Amino acid sequence: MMPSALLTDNSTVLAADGWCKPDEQPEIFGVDRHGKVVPRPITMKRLREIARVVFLASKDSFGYFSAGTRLLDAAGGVRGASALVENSQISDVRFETVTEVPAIVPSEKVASTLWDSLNEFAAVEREEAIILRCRWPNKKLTDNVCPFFSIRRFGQHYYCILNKQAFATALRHDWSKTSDALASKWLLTPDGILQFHRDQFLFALWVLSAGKRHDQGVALQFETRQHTTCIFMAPTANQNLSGGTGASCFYVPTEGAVIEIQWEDRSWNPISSGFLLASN
Amino acid sequence: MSRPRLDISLSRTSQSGARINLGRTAVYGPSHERLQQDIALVGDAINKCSGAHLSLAKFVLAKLVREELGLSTFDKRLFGALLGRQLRLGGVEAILGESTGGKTFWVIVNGQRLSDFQIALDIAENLLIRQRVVSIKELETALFSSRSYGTWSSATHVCGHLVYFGRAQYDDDTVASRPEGLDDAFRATD
Repeated sequence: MMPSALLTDNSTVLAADGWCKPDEQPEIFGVDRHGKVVPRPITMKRLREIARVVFLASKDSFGYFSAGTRLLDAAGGVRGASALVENSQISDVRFETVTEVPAIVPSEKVASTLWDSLNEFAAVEREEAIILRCRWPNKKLTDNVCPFFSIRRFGQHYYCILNKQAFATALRHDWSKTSDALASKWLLTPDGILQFHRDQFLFALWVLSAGKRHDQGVALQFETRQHTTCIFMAPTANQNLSGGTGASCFYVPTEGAVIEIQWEDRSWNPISSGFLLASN
Repeated sequence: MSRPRLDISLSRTSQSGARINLGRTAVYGPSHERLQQDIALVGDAINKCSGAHLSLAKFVLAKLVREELGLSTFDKRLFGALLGRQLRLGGVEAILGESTGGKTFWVIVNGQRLSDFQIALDIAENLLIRQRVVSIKELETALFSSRSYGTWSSATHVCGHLVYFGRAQYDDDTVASRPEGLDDAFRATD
């Protein structure tokens, strides 16, 4: 029997074209027995069942999983997502995570998925553009125009106006610079922290990986161990060694479709939202 | 029938035979069974009280739960830990909003009523797009068939959520409007 793992609609995997939904790719990255990040082919099956959805965060990464997802901890032990929620001992667990991505080139499809996720938070949306409210009134407008967005004020607030095609082109050309640029204009707070809504996790993963690519240390913060609505990213001078301690873990009130991925290599563990999946 | 007395405490006493960690907070009780029973009792009260309203501020929910359980006081930190447990188990959800002072706030929405909250957001945004300016009182009338405890507050929570994501702005404490030029932005750039 082939190794398999359960995920949910909101789960994220790492493929040659970046962070994406599990149903988008025939091949994804994982970690082999030597600790190397390598791609392997997978098959994906949408099961005819729904399950509770778990949000899991460590000091190094975050993401959504199905209640039946099993994850590897830093000691090589297997942890069930639902058990992590129910035993309320998340801070006693350490996770090995991978958010530093290898050479990737975002595809049109991946750019489109990311666009759709941004769309949900738009103040106004059209087919070809969206308007997102900036978290900080950005008074200096001189450096606020780039090929894929511009900053404008409407009423009391400042907004990023994003063009879909230009955003996709910029992401494909230089994903890390594009992610950084958008995050710093859209989500930077007066405290110098990036404040993501929890459901902006997909974009947050791109920004986290961009920080790693630029050797920029990033400290992740969450509201409490039992729940978080936001993901806070604070830049630090150096790559920090957090030890991957569990930071927050809980069920979200809604249920999600269950997705099963299968692979052949038993010595390889797929990466989902930076965490390593264990076979069921 | 007298209501049960809660035997949960934030500090260990000579009577404390059991301890459970809720996030960073440890709670103590006379026995593990009794502690779990009391935690479940508060959890049920949180679910019941939150389910009766579209949304609630944390301190209002604490007051309703205290009344529901017939308690004279309820330690704020203890309630926070027990509310955290309900958030962890997905019985309730925290929704972001922005106050008239520009501060971010969180309100509690029962997990079963998230779709109601989404419908309320859609109604409020459509009203704003149509009228440009909406008072909290008008919004309350649009969202609820009749005024009752908490309906005005829920209307402010819905409004605060729209403001947080830039779909509305405050004109003053009781009036919100659609930011000028926002809906015409694409026409201007076309």
